[in-house]
Amino acid sequence: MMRLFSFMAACAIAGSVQAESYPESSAIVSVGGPITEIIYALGAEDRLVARDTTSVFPPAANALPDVGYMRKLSAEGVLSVSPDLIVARATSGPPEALEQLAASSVPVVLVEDQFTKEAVAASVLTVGEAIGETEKAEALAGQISSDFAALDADLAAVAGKKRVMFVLSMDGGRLNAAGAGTGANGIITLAGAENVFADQFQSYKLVDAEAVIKAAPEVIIMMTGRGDHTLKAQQLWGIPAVALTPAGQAKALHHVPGAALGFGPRTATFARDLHDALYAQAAE
Amino acid sequence: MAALDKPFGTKRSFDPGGMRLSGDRTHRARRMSFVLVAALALTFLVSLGWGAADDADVIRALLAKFGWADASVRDVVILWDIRMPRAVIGALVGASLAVSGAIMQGLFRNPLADPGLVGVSAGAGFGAVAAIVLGGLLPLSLQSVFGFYLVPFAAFLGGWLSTILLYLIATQNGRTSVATMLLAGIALGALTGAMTGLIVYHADDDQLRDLTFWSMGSIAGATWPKVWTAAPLIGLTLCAAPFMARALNALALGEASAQHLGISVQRMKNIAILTVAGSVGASVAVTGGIGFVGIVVPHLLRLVQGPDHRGLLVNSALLGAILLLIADCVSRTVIAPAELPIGIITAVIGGPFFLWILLKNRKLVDL
Amino acid sequence: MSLLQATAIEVSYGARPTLDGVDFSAKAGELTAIVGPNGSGKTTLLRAMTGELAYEGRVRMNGEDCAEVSVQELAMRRAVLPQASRLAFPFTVLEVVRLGLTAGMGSDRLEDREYLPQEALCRVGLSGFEGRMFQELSGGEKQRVQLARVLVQIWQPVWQGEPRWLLLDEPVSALDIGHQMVVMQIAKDYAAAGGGVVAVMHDLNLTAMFADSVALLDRGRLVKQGTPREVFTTDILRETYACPVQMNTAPAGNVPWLLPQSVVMPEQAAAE
Repeated sequence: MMRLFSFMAACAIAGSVQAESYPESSAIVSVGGPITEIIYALGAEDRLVARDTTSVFPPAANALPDVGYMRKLSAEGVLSVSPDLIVARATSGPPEALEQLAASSVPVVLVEDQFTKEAVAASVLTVGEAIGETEKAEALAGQISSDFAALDADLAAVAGKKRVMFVLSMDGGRLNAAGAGTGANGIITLAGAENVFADQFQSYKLVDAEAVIKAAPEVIIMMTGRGDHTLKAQQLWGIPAVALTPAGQAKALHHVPGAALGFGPRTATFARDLHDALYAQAAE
Repeated sequence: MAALDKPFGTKRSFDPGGMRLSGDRTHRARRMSFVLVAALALTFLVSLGWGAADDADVIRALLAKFGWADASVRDVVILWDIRMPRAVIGALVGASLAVSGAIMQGLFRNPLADPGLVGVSAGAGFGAVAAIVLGGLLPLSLQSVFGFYLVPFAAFLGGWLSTILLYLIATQNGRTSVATMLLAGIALGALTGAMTGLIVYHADDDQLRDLTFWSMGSIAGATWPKVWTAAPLIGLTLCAAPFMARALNALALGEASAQHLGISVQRMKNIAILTVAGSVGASVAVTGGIGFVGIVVPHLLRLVQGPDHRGLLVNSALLGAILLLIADCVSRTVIAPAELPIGIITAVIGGPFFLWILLKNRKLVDL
Repeated sequence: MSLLQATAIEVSYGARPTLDGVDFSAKAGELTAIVGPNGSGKTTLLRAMTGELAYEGRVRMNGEDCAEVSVQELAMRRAVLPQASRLAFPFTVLEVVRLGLTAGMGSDRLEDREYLPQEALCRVGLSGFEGRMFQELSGGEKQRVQLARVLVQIWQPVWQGEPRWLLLDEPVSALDIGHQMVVMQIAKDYAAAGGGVVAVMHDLNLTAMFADSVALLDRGRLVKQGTPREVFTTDILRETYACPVQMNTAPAGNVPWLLPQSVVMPEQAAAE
């Protein structure tokens, strides 16, 4: 019962700096790419015993046992590595598995996901607090904040925001685009551009072809990864509605790594890369 | 008992006097056809004129295609490359699903039969999932040949192959047992479901999202190449359907009686199953799973005009096309600029309707 | 050759033969009945002759091997009344009877076709039932609607110089005595007009009244085929049905009339 309370408490205060602290823990399971990155950045990687499928950075993390996909955790799988602390993104699931973990004797610290620069620093502090590396965490958070401040200074110099559409997938010619409340929307905003669907809908949705024409994006962003990029680009420009947009006419396509959509220590770098790519394209 | 004395001659003992016979419902089907043709034309025009880019000058764009007027490239593209293929695909797929449903119900002699019974949906789902998750493993040259159409192609292939497999299982000594086909369909569905699940288990985050969207069905992404690939298969079924009508009517009396009425039942089954598998496979391939059109449309028409397949098949095609066009208009506009997958809309309308039919005709559900 | 002839018919379900080398023939212009106890193979024989069951042997109709005639051709020359009436969808009576026109050759004159269903319904005593729903009729009414449908299919008993065949599977099983007479009289009239009629019958007295020829089956074999007077003898019937019968002669028509007697169970007979 106590554990259930502590789980609920963890839910309630996750993301704030008053998270519980388990400095003695030596067998940590990290769930979520950004969390793993933070733990590595804080130099606590030798305390990790397992990670989830989405934790693929730094490459060394791949050597750790994989407890499954972060949204489809199994309590038994996680407990099988005998952890004494679980640090997970708040969007991990399913809720039943989290509840079961909380009901077992292992503390669970949930770190809230939000796609803002403040949230990145906050999650670093939460993780730092949880694993008892508060000082290093504060230093890292400070570093991240100053990276963002530097980026902001550069952004101020740019007049007029680029209109960007993020396409998650286009299987069968159907466009799946990012709305508000997505990692894609976050990184686009940080890079000083504007997501064309930010005030239209939440999360990733199938978009109407005509709505794409109306939204008139100047640049299209997709994720690096699956399949051949030139082939995908050909397919993208082959969609009649896309071809009509300013992006389609200028064939302005840019790729971001998948990790840029989960907010972690590297977010400022990703935002700067995207910013440079977007506005360098404009300069040409 | 006066009738007993009459010979089996051809002398008429009735003067019809030009009156319509009671029990003759052919006129209702004919009247319905007129209404539906008009309604289809209207809905088609509405779906051409209605969209998020509501400032497009549709009429001018229509004329511009033939060089009778000037219109901006944007308007021409919106009308001819976005709305037109979408409306055509919507009408074709709606007609295909409804006609296929009516044919399957006639063949299985069960008003609740669905095109999915011949294993198309399960097979197509498996094909699509395999293509979405494993498509990236194909050699690049193959990927570039298929382009966007890898998933639709795999879905069609999966649907078609699973139907052929079911058909071979259910056919013995040249006779196809519809009961075996039904039961084997359930087994095969479970099996492909398991294999699909296995593949899904290995899918990553964005593949999972693709899968979700594919399974809900949508006409978004309609293009002329898609129209040209799906139209022949769907057209084949639409053209073949009227020739199946008499046979399906006779089948209502059972296979033996149909045979005695001069119907080659086995040939009829071959044609029906293969054309339905083709057109439903093509429909599922271009739009994903769209449920309930195949059950709701024929049933609604049977209530109005009776079960005679001569009018039923034609009118099912018309009403199916109309319903899907309307559903698509809703799907495009209700949460614009995002789209609600059309499968959700047909399921929301069709699900309760299906339950209502089920409760009303409990005794008809016996196989 | 105006005969429906089945020679050396064998049908088996699994290893057990249901019909074991049955020879049967029916003449056009006559009503031929197939009778026998339950499980003797009456309906199986009819179904073999209609091609519903796979069989060994030969079935010839008007001299042609049925196995070599197309389904469409057969439908123009013979019609089959099934035992049970099934209908998948809510058709009206008129629509069901019109299904008899599927093969399209009820009558030579095309313009007659429109009126045949009404003629046939009148014939079976169901005038005015056209607009009723078939599924809502009583069992006996359904059976008569089916008969009307079958009559429409081969309305003219002689077509292109050849007799047509009416095959009836227990046509009167669901009928009251009045309608039994109506249906049997129609069958008799069809035969009298030159067509051939084969009926699987249960009621031996009714059979004796109407049939010109009777084939008696027992355990998959033909016991005897001949006139009712030849077949319905005290000895043959007692042997076949395991039931003593008293033979009389019905006053009208000089046909055999039998009265079943109470059965003596085998163990009882042994005890006596």
